[in-house]
Amino acid sequence: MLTRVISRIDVKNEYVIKGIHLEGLRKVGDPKQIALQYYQQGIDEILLMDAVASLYDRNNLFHIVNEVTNDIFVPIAVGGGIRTSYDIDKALQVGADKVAINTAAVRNPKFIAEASRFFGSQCIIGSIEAKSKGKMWEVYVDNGRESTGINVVEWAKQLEQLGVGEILLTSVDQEGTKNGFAYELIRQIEQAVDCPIIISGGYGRPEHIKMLAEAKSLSAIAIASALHYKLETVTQIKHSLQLLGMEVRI
Amino acid sequence: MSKTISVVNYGTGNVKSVVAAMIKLGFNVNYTDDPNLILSSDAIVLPGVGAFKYGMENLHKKGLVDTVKYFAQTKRKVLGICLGMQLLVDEGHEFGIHKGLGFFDGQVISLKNFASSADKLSLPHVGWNSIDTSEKGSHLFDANNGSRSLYYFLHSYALKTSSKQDVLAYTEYSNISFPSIIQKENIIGMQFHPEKSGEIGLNLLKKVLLE
Repeated sequence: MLTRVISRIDVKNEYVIKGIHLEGLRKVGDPKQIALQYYQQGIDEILLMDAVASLYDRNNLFHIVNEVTNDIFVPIAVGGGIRTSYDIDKALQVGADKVAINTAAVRNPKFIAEASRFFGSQCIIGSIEAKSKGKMWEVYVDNGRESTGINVVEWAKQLEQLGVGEILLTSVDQEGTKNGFAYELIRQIEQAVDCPIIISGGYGRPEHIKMLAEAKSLSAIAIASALHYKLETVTQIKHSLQLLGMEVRI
Repeated sequence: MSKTISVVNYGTGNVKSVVAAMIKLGFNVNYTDDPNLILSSDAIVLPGVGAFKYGMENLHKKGLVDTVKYFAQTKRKVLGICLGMQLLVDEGHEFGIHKGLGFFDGQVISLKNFASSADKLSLPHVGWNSIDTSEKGSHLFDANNGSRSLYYFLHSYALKTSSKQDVLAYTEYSNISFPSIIQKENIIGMQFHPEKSGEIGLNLLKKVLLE
């Protein structure tokens, strides 16, 4: 299958925000307008993440998804504060195709198994926030705020067994830096699981993706800073990927 | 004067984008399970995500099987999307053998069962893939609307049929090939999600529903 280019849009209340290492949030603009812009430029999917789900009323994101799906006709995933089957159902009702679940899965892995059975594994993305600790990586929850002591590679395997359709892998160390991906982390996760992996955190320029292409088949890349700060357009990124010999949707 | 489309509500969820696409294309849209409203429409869309068995059960529970069949007989357009396309067929083999609406010959089976070599296939088939149009399907495409464009697929089951004349387009996944667009007179089915395939998908919807 083709490599999907996904735009990751983190939202705090009514604004798209961007931080570094999931902190220091800066307002970037209006979620719907930004999503529409990327859609018009040919983005393959949109990932809407609620950056402050545990602190504020998470209904805010469903309202945005509902509006976004009136005008944007590519797959939409939503994450941040998805805790119950009701949340998943609501997300799908307002037009999301998939939900990304992190904290709730760590607190109660059975939730993933049940959700995957009921809604279908293709709807369920297991979201992992990974921060390096010595030679390994630790699972973080609550949008990079809380450490868990859990080994990321082991957790990824478990998520796959529980029935997630995909894994969203975010490197807390790399995200926001535009310095490239967490290559060793990605390599280890790719060896550990068979399901598609959406790689998030660290994209700065096309060469960064080229360095990944030496790995297994590249399923999807989620890009935030490079797009939000207008370093490149979706069209430019895809064109560069093509020149690097990768198959993308143009 | 714009056409009225009824998107059939038979409880299979995830239909928001189908309705939004219809609105975007300028149709008057009902999302309904009311037989009278359905029968008074210019065209109907059968959406759907999920298992064949539950799809048919829900249609029966809501008393909509006869409504859809009757509507089809009046030669007005019936469009089935994803599970909706699968239900148009004779029979489905997901969770047992179940009768479908019977407009098309064939069985809906797991992609893994398409060929003996397919058992290692990664399912669901999810992502962007291209369609290969036969000459029969060329009327759906033009310069603006590529027949080799990419559409968004998300399914584990597909139609296995020997009635080649019903197939307007095939899609390849790994080492197998399955129908991605089927049509018989006024009844048409798409295995992919045109409402999730960007502007290309919307153009195709427009072409099909305005034909």
